Amino acid sequence: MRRLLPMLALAAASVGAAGCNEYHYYDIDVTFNTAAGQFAGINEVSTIQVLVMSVTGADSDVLQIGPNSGGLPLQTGAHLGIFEFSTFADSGQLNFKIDAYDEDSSANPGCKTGEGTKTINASATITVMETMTINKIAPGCVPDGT
Amino acid sequence: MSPLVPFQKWTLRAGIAVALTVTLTVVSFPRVAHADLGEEPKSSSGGAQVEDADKPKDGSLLEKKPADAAVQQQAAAPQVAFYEKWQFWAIAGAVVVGAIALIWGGQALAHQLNGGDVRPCNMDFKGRCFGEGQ
Repeated sequence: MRRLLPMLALAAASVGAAGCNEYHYYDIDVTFNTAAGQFAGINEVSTIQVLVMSVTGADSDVLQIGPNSGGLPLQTGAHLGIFEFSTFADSGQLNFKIDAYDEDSSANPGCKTGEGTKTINASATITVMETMTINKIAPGCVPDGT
Repeated sequence: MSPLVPFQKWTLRAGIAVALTVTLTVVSFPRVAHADLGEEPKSSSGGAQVEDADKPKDGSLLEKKPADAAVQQQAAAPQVAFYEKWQFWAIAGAVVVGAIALIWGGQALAHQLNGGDVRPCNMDFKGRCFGEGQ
């Protein structure tokens, strides 16, 4: 028993030294900008076939949705919905960027028509809610339908 | 004055001489010395040397005792293999169960230390979940 207790204490210290990982979630609510000079309502928003969400900084990952998945193409409105990014990072900066393409086969750079960015300070908060707006930056490959 | 030595002095010297003579005689003869120490003088006859003087003359003392017979019986009994004993299987089972529990518990602990299970993706997110654990 006298030998067991120091061993248990050592194991506990090792566990404490190793630390515990904890998930943090960043929920990014994405909306297309349909203001004047931006996407021309649902007629143009519905031409968006592919979105690529990338994260750099304290953590990194990439997610592509579409065509015909993840809510694309939008049928009504300009509100796409939430992207949820999970990470163990609780410090530093997370740089979110989303690229919108209106070409239905892949993320063809020549068909990039919209972009949105958001920088968030990573913290110990379990769930961070943020919004992101995709602005129109180029004509893309598909007429806007107006 | 008489030229003769006084009787008292003569008697004392004679007594000392006699005592020395007797002492030297006793010390010079081992048999006598041993006898004085309480040992039996060994017999000079050859046949008596073969006999074991320590052997008890009572025959019942030489018979095997019951305890000796029990030990002999136990030794003569067939030895049971270790794997045929229930204690072996009880210990082996406990070791196996303990090892499995240790491995499973270690993996579960490591998983929890690594954040455990990631939160399931909300149905409303339509699969737009990514990052660690996804």
